[in-house]
Amino acid sequence: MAEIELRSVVKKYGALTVVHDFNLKIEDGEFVVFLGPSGCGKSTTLRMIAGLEDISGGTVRIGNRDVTHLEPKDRNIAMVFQNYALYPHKTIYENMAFGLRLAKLPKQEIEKRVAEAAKMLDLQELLGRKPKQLSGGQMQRVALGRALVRNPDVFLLDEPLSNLDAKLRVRMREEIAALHQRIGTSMIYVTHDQVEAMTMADRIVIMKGGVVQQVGAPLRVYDKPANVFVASFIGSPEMNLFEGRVGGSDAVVQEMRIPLGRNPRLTDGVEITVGFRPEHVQVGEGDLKFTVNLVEQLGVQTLCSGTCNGLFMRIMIERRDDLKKGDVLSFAIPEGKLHLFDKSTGSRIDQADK
Amino acid sequence: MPKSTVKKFLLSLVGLAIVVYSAFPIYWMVVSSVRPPESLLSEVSLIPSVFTLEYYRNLLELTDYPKHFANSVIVAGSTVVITMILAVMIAYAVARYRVRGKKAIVVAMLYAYMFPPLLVAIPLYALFIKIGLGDSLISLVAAHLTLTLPLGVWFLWGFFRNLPFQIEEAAMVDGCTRLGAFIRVVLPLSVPGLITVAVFSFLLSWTDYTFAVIMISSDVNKTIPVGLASMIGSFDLRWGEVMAGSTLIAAPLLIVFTFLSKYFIQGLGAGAVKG
Ligand SMILES: Nc1ncnc2c1ncn2[C@@H]1O[C@H](COP(=O)(O)OP(=O)(O)OP(=O)(O)O)[C@@H](O)[C@H]1O
Ligand SMILES: [Mg+2]
Repeated sequence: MAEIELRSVVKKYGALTVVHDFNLKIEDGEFVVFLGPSGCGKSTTLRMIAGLEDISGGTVRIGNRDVTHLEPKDRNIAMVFQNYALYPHKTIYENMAFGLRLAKLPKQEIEKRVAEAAKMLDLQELLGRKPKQLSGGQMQRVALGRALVRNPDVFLLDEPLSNLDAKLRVRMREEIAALHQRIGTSMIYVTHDQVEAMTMADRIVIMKGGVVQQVGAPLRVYDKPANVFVASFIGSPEMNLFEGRVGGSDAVVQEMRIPLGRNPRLTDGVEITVGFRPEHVQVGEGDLKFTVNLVEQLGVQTLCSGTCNGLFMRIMIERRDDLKKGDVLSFAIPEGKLHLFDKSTGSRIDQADK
Repeated sequence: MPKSTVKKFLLSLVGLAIVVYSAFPIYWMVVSSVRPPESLLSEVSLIPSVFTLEYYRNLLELTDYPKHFANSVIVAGSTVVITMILAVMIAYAVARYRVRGKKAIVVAMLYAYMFPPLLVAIPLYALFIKIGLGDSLISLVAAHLTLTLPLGVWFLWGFFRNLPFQIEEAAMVDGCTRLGAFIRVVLPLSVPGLITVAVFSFLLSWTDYTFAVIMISSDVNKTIPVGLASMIGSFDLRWGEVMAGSTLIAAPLLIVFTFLSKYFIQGLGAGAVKG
């Protein structure tokens, strides 16, 4: 168990910088998720922590050791790979015991640890098999088991669930979360799936183009996205975002006027990006008119896409069975649910109540 | 009969025909090596009526055959060992590291392989004479490497490229050094590929005639294919001894194939599909 600290970590490939000035302190036992679109440098950062990738600048500390220049084997970390990376020529038992054998642990200790991990992950029946004879979910559990037996300071997981089908993914997500609660070891988990990030993380690190965009607890990031990118990346369905300007006490987007409410006084004519989440609109009040174009029934909720003053948007409301194309709903955006961003920089315009 | 059975039957028949066609000369060679001289060129029965080991005795006691056999073993053995060591190192480096112009390296090697041996052999011979290695087993090994090395690198390159790198990384996280990961994980997984390359190198070197006939002039340094051929060229052509000699050339190949065919076929498959 240990805290992890990244200070001004940089990764360059020749002239190309793929991770810029990455700073993060991960508390002991914390579950941190690196989230971002493909190619944003999540894996690279994780692999720098693992020691599989050279660090071009900055330092990495695990516990109270500077591990920046240590080999992976000397960092006391465990890693779970997207494609599981089990040793195909070894049995499941040997896959899990491999690291312990390298560490020259006594035989009984190895047996004990493997048995414990196998029990925890429900792998007892499979210990004699080869990886080829397992299903994807089972292989993923073996990969977790292999990490688990080593008692590492930190678990690093790179998109461990992305090769599984949707249903299994949900189950494994719960299993990993439960595992984390039980063993209490710090975990760093890489994904591009915002649902995984929201459901599992203590804190999310959102990245784009090698730059950290925001670090925060899932709901914090959801409630107060630091910039337009985070706003659109977190939450499903995506936030409705429009470019416009301040006009009196309203945000003006073409013909549409959205009341700013108690938002801080902004100078008339300032260019802004406004956003609101589909699930936050209140239907049946207010002056905005939404014309339904497409209705998607999700069960408890109904998702409609359509237009307001000719602008495309989505709204999500309580289940309504009667809606059809062409219907018009009036709606309002409640106080505090409107997000304002500087149009040129994209960063959040802070609100008075912050 | 159901259709699929008919199909299978026909397929087996064709397979059998091919086997008989290619195996019969080998069988005839073996049989001829044990037929006594009186019936060697006249008897047509499949199984000889009288057996004799006379040719083998002559071959081993009265000719340079044992010496040539030993030369062949030395040359083929060295070729295999050197090919394996170099090909593994080069192929791994090319497959795993960002080597400048690695495509060019591999293509150049393949190109060298496609060169007719004769064209390579003559300048090589001149070169070896210059540096004082003319007519030596070393020069022959070096010549064989010009064939086996490109083939080995190319084949293993395809093999290594298709082993997921993450497996090595997992081993490194698990506590191996880079070299340790290579030895404990990559090599065991590459056994079929390694055996395939070893068998091919052995085959090329063991059966080579072209290089040997150019590189080697003295009797003591001849390898068996050349030694045997010089027997055919001499004034009285002794078919019996030639057949016995050929059988002995083929024997190691048969043994190698019998024991390693499983891996060999696996390796070929892996290389063919992905390489
Ligand atoms: N060896 C390399 N040389 C040059 N650029 C590289 C190299 N490896 C990765 N990159 C670049 O670094 C960037 C970050 O890659 P990384 O694998 O960390 O992305 P990621 O966030 O994990 O994406 P994904 O979700 O697709 O896995 C990418 O733009 C990639 O093209
Ligand atoms: Mg990645």
